[in-house]
Amino acid sequence: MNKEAHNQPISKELFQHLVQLAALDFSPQEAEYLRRELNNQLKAIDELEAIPLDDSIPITSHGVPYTPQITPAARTDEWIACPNPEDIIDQAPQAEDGYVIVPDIPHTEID
Amino acid sequence: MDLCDLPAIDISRLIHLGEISALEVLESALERVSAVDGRPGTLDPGDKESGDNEKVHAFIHLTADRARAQAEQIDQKLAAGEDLGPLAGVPFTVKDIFCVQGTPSTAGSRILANFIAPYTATSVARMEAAGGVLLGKVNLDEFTYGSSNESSAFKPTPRNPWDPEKVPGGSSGGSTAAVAAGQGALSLGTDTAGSVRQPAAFCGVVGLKPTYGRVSRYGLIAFGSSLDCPGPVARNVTDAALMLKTIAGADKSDGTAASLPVPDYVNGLRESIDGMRIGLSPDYFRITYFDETTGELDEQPISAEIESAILSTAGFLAQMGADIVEDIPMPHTKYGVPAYFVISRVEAASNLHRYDGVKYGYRTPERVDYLPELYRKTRAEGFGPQPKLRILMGMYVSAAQYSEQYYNRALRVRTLIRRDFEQVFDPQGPYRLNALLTPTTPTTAFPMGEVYGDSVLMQYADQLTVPANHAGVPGLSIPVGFDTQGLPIGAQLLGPDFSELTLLQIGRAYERASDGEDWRQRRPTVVAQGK
Repeated sequence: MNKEAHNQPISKELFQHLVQLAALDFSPQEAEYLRRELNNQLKAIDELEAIPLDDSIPITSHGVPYTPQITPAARTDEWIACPNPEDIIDQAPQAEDGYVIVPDIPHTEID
Repeated sequence: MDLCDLPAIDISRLIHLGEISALEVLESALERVSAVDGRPGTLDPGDKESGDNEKVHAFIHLTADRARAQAEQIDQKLAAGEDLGPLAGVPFTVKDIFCVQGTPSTAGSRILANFIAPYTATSVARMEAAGGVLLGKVNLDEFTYGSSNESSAFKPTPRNPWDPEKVPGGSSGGSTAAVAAGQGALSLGTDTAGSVRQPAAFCGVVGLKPTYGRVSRYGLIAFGSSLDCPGPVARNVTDAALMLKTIAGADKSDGTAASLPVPDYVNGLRESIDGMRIGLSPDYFRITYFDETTGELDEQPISAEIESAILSTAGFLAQMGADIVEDIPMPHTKYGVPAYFVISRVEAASNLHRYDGVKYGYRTPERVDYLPELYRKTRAEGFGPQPKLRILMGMYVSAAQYSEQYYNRALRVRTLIRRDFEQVFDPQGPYRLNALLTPTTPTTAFPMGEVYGDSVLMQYADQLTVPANHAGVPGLSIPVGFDTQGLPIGAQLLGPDFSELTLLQIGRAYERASDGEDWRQRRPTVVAQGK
């Protein structure tokens, strides 16, 4: 890895790719600031590489183990009517007759 | 002292006795808000106004009318001889990351600025059902992403009541600043890396991060779903216990809320701490920080003032009968922040994909003809830099080609962090601790504008608090004095899963032991000047 790539693993090209995936958009100045912060964060994250981890160490996806003593029973699968559906639809920036309106969705016509 | 300065437990008792009315307490709290808070945070604050820098600015939305209706109802219930509930007439605030039906619930972000929650979070509903009076929604770092409150889209952002030139901490800085300044006796915050404990330390109040799963997350706008914990902010340990008792417990709307019974945290405070084993770890008395010029991580001891305050706290606890055990190894403490940079970002990115301008919240006003363009413009305009950073980092470290190197590695380091705690709290192990005593923060409150903008340095403000979030264990921050600048110092107590009662007992024992200390008489600058 050359020096530039080592110091900045998130290159301008990779950054643009992430921006596309994330459905975001930046001015050039904002992009440069955020890319620098991300690369600095990666330097801190690289500390993790120094830790010896043998294969026996499992992952922890949440700290407290859910034993039977503390795990609630699954709810019964009941249909409960929402008391105020209009309050939810009303939150949509554009709605009509109980439907949420969006611009054109990419699609292909099938004959 | 005004009615709004009384502890929650006294307010409730005096209202039950009919000696004061809920409405009187509420009016006292509202007077305090108008004396010290200044203008609330908004999206378009315009130019700085004179006096802005001397005010607290804790609130985004004051719900005074709703609060008056609640207070009147309490007073009517008392007159009718009805049951009032343990928080009867206690004014409280809610960090604006919780949904409260019919109120704007903004997460401190432009993207949710116009969102009116159609339902109420379980923890808020429980406080209201117990007689609590909701004063309003308070400011926070945008989506809770920060340690200073400066990243909120709603400005002016909160300032520290002890010195308004300093930050209140974050992300629950609106909560801790409000409680410190007497704007409500209690506040509901959240803690994902230290967001209750760190601002509690900076503002000289009590903050509790419960065990993961102790308090329901239903109605909490999610950040890191495996880390987020709603928790109490109060001016003393008894009030924090009272509030935890109210909000804790199983919830049919949150399958991760533990079904363990809720102890009587308030009556349990009478127990002695005699014979409890409380550990001090050298790994919590040094900090690692990132040097941008060298690109290296450096280690240095925490400030001598903070170290001395923690050792003095240990001395008081020893007087109360605790055994202080030194040299407890917690070797993975320093990896808490690097692991958090990975885990929390992946979870945040996942949680933030829902904000797209379609179902609720902000939508770009520009005309767009194509749905992906709507997403892109809405998110670019609606999110501030902190959510954007978290989305991008979360996507990078969880991408197929990098996830083994970053995400899976961080989750395995999380196992090691958890093991540190399991080993020292193991009742059959070599240390057999009931709790660890540590500083809550490496520094006291820093100046406004000093750290904001450096996302790495800001994250390191959480390095002594974040290990508990990785491990899921509870943590309590209590005020233990002031530094020479007159800024509060916080001590942190960490315990095994579901040991909140033990931590509260130790905190209460410290309060009793240090009751005669001069610093306990101090009042925040804004309150003294606002009178």
